Amino acid sequence: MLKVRIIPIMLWNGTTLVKGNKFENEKRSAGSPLTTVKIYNSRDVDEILFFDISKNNKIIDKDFILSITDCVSVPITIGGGIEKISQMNDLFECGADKISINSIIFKNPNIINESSKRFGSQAITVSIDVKKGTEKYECYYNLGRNKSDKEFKDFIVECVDRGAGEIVINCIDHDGLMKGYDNELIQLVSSLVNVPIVASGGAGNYEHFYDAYKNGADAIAAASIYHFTKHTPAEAKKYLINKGVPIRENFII
Amino acid sequence: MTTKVAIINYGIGNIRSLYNSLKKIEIEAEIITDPELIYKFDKVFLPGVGSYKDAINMIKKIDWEKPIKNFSSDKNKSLFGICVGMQILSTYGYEHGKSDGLNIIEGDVEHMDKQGCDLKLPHIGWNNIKILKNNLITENISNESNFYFVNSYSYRLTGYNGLIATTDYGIEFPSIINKQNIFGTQFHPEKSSKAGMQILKNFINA
Repeated sequence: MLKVRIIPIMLWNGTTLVKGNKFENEKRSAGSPLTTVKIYNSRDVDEILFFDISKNNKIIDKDFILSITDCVSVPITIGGGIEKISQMNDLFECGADKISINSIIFKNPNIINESSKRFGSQAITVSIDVKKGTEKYECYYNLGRNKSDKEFKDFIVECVDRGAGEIVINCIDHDGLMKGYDNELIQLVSSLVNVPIVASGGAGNYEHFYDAYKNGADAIAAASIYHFTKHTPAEAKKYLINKGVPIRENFII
Repeated sequence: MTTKVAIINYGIGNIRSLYNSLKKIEIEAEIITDPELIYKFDKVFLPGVGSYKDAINMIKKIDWEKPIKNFSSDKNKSLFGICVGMQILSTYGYEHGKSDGLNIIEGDVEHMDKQGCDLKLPHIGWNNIKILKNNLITENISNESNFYFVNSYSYRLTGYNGLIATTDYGIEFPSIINKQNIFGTQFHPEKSSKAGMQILKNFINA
C-alpha cells in the first residue's frame, strides 16, 4: 500500500535556515542547512522539501546544492525563484528528484507544460500560496507579497491539466502559527484534482497531521513544529501508525 | 579480490545518488561511458529514469546493446537494472509506441492502467513489497520493507520464473525480478534510504 509521506520543509535565506509565521521568515533563525539535512536524513524522513528564499535565488549555486543532496538518501524536492528550464536542468543534475515552481506560474503558466514534458510530470511540483479572502481563497506569489487575479479553484485545475504532478498547498494564514492546517482548504483541493496533495502551513501537534490526512492530504509537510518544538518526524509517524494511517516504518535489520 | 563495481552512464538517470548510496556502503563505483569498459567489472548497474523509448534508443545509439548482452551472459558477472533500467531488460515496451528492448529477461512493459490499475498514476512514493521467493537480493528484507517508486508502466514477465517480489498498487506488479545473474528493481534503491542500501549491499554480495 502506498504510504502517506512525512516531509520536513527547509527554508534557506542564503545565510541560514529560517522560519517565521504568515510568511514573515526573516525573524527567526532555524539553524544550519547541512546539519539539519543530515539529521533529517538520519532520522529517515520520507522526503525533504528545500526552498531557497534568498534574494539571489535566480542563480543556482551548484556546489551548495550538491553539498545538500549528497547528504540525502531519500527523495528531495527543490524550489525557490525557479523561472527557467535551464535552472531546473542544473538542479536535476545536482541531485534534485523534483522541482517545485511557484511565482513564475502566474507570469508564464506554460512553464508547467514545458517542464513536465521535458522532465516528466512526476518531477514537477507546483507550490501554491493561498490566503482566505472575504469570500473565497486567493492565490499569492512572490513570497506572499503579491495577490494574483487568477481564480483559485480554476487555477489549481489548470496547473494539473498543464502537467503538474503534485500540488503543495501553503496556507499563508496558518503558516508558523502551529494551530493546525487549513483543513477546509485541503479538502477543497483534494476534491478538485487527482494528483498527490502536500499539506503545508500550520502544524503544531501530531493530531494536526492526522486531521490533514483525513481531509485528503497525501503528504504532510511541516517546518516550525520540527525546528522549535520537541516534536520529531519519527514521533509523528508513530502517532499516525497508531491511528491506522499507512506510514512507512523505519527500516531496521 | 575486491569486487569491481561500475555504473553505466548512457545519459539517462540520476547517477550521482546511486554513486553516493554505494559510497555509504563502502563501495567505490566507477561511472563508465565507454561500452567496451564493461568487461573489466564484476557488478554493473544499469540505471534509468524517463521513458522506455528514450532509454532504449539511447542504449542502441551509443552501442551499449551488445556489451550489456555479452556481459550479462557471463555467469561470473552480474547486472542490476533500476526502474527504467530494469524495464528495458524486457522483450518489448509500449511507452510512446512499441519498441524492442534488450530481451534479456522475457516479458513486456505496459501502462499500468491498461493492466487494470484504476488509482492515480504515476505511482509515486513509498510502497512495500511482497516477497514470493527467497533470493540473495532480499536478504534481511521483509514484506514490511518500503521502497521509493516512480512509475506508470510495469513489467509483465512471460512465465513467473523470475518473479522475486511484487508490489500492490491497483494491480500486483513485479517490483523485484531475477534471472540467474541478472537482477532488476522497479523501485529506486538509491532513494530508498536504509532498505535501499540493504538491497545494494545484497547485490554486491550476491
